[in-house]
Amino acid sequence: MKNKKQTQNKYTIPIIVNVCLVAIVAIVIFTTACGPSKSASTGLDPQFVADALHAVMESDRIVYTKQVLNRLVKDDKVIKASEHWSDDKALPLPAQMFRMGAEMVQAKKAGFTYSLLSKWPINKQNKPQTEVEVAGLDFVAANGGTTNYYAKENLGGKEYFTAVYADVGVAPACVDCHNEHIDTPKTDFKIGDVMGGVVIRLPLD
Amino acid sequence: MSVGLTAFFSKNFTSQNAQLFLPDNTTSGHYQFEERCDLCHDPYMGVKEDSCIDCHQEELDSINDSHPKKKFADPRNAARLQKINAASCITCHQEHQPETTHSMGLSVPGDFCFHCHQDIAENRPNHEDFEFDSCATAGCHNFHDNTALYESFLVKNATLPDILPNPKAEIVDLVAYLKVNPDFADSINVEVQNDLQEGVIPSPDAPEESLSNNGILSDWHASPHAAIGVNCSSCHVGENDKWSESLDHNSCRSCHGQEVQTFLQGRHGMRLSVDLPPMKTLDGRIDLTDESKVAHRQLDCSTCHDPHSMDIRHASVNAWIECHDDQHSKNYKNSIHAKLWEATKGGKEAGASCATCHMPRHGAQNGHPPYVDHNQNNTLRPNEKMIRSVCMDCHGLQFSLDSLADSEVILSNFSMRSTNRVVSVDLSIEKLNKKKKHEKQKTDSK
Repeated sequence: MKNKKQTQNKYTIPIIVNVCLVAIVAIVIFTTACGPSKSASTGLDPQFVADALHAVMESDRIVYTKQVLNRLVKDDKVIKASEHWSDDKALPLPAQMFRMGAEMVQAKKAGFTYSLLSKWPINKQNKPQTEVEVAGLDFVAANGGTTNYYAKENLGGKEYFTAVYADVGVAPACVDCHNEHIDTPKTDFKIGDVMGGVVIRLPLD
Repeated sequence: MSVGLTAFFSKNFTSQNAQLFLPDNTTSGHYQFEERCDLCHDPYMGVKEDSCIDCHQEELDSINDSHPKKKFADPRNAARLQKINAASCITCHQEHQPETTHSMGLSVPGDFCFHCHQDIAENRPNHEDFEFDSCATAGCHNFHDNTALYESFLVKNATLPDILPNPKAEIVDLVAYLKVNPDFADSINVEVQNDLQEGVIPSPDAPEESLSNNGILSDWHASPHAAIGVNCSSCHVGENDKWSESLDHNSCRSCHGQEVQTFLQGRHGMRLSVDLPPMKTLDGRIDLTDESKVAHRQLDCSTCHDPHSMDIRHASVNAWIECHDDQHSKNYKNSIHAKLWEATKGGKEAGASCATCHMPRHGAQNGHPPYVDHNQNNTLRPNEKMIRSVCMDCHGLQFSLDSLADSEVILSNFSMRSTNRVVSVDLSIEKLNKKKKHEKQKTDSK
C-alpha cells in the first residue's frame, strides 16, 4: 500500500493553466456523467479526477445543507427533515441525499464509486472497513480537514486509487442531528468539526 | 455434436415440453411458469442477470428495499461479498433446490445475517443472547422489507391498543370517485347519475339473441355497472368492434386498470402475464375444497366476479372458500373477523373478509382512482408485509406483530389470541429510555 499525501493549493498556478484545468474538469465530469469513467485508461491523473469529482459532490451537498435544509428547517421552520422522510413527509437528510446519489451512480456502473463514512457512524455499516478507509479517516480527522488522503488499495483482486476527503459539519442541522441521534456514538460535534469523510474510488486496472 | 446438442436443448427448453428437463421442483412462486425456462435462463441455461429484478424490482422499490443490489456494488464490500455474495439474488434464492429451500424461498441457512452483522451485540447489547437464525423469524427483521419493523416506527406506534378505537378498512367506492372526478369518468366513457336510485337505467344494447337469459339481464339492471351507464357493449365489444360472448381480463382493463395489473402480477394471473394459458385450480399447490367442482376452473376476473351481478361480497369470501381448503381458510367462517363481517352485511362494513386482508383496498392517490390490490404477494411472505396495509387499519402494532408471528393463531384464522410477545417494540422502548436517562444524567451533572 503506497500513501501519497499532498497539501491542497500547494503551488500557484498561472491563470491560463487554471482556465485549462477548469475545461479539463468539465470534460471529465461530462464523460463521467455520460458513460463509464475512463480516468484510468485515458491517462488522466486519478488524483486530479477524484478531486474534480469531490469538488462537485461537496458543493452540491453544501448547497443542499445550507440553502435547502438548514434554511427551511432551522431558519424558516416550514418543514421538517427526517431520517424517515418518506413516512414523515419530510426532507431527506443531507447524508441520505448523498448516499442515494452514490447508490444511483453505482447502479449506473459509472466506473467509479463513492461513499460517506465516519469513525462515529450512526449506522454502523458506515464505519471504515478497509485499511485505507481506517487510515484515511484518521488522517483527515487529525489534521482538521486541511489535507486530503490518497492511497492505492487492492479490493477483491482489483487495484483502486482511493481518495479520502474530510466531511465537515457546515451548518447547525449537521451537528445538532448527529449529536441528538439515538444511535450516535459522539454527542459533542461543533460546526467546523470533521465528522467523517467522503471516500472516492477509481479503478486502476 | 455440441452445436447439435445446444440447438436441441435450446429448442426444447423454450417449448411446451420444457418441464421434462426441469432439474427439480421450482419454488411455490415460480412453478406456475416453469415451462417458460427462457424467462430466467439464457439459451445455455445460465441464469439471466436481470431475470429476478425484471419481475421483482417494482416491489423492492416500493418497500425501499433494505439491502438493494446497488448497495453492494461499492468495492469496499469486496471482502464481505466473498463470504456471501449479497449482490446476487440467487445467492440466497436458488431455484430447483426443494431439499434446501425453506420459507421465503430461502435456500441458505437462516443465520445468514451473521456474515455482515456478527458484531451486532457491540452496539445492541440487548441482542447478545439472540441466535442469528432468529433475526428474520421472530417478527423483528426482514432482509428486504422493514417498512413496519424499523425502530422509529415501532416506538411511534408502541402504545396503540389491541383494537383501535375506530377500526375500519379502506372502502373502494369507485362510483363516488367518478362523481367528483369527471375527467376520469370521461376517460373510461361512463356518465354517473347524481342519485343512483333514481338514475335512468339504459336499455341493454346487446344483440337480440344474447338477451334471452333474463337472469343476466336482471343482474345487470341491479348492478352499479347499469347505474353508471356501463352497457353490454362496453365490455362485449372489443377493439375490433365485434360482439363477443366470452370475455377475459382485457375487457375489464380499461376501467379497472390497477386491479387487472395487480391480478397479472399475483398468483392468480401471473401465467397470463407471460403469455401462458390461464392458471387452472387443479394446477395449484394448495388444498382444494371439492376438486370435482372447482378443479378445472381457469382463473380470470370472472372466476370470482360475476360480471353481471358484480356481487363484491361473493367475491370477498365465497369465491375464496370454494377453492381454498387449508386449515386457515376452513377456520374463517367461525372467526371473529367473519362474524363481524357477516353481522354488518348490507350496512357499514366491519370485520374482515378474505379479501380485506389478502387483497386490501387502497384509496385514491396521486391521481389514480381507488383500487383493490389483486397481487397477494404484496401482503404475504413475509406476512409482516400486511401490518401497515391491512392489520393496522383495525389493530395496534404490538397485537399485529404478535398475531402474525404465531403460526397457531394464523391457523385458527385469528380465533385465538397469541400468548407470545414479539420483543422488538419493548427493545426499542428500552433503548430510548436508556438514552433519555443518559441525557438527563449528563444535564444534571452540568
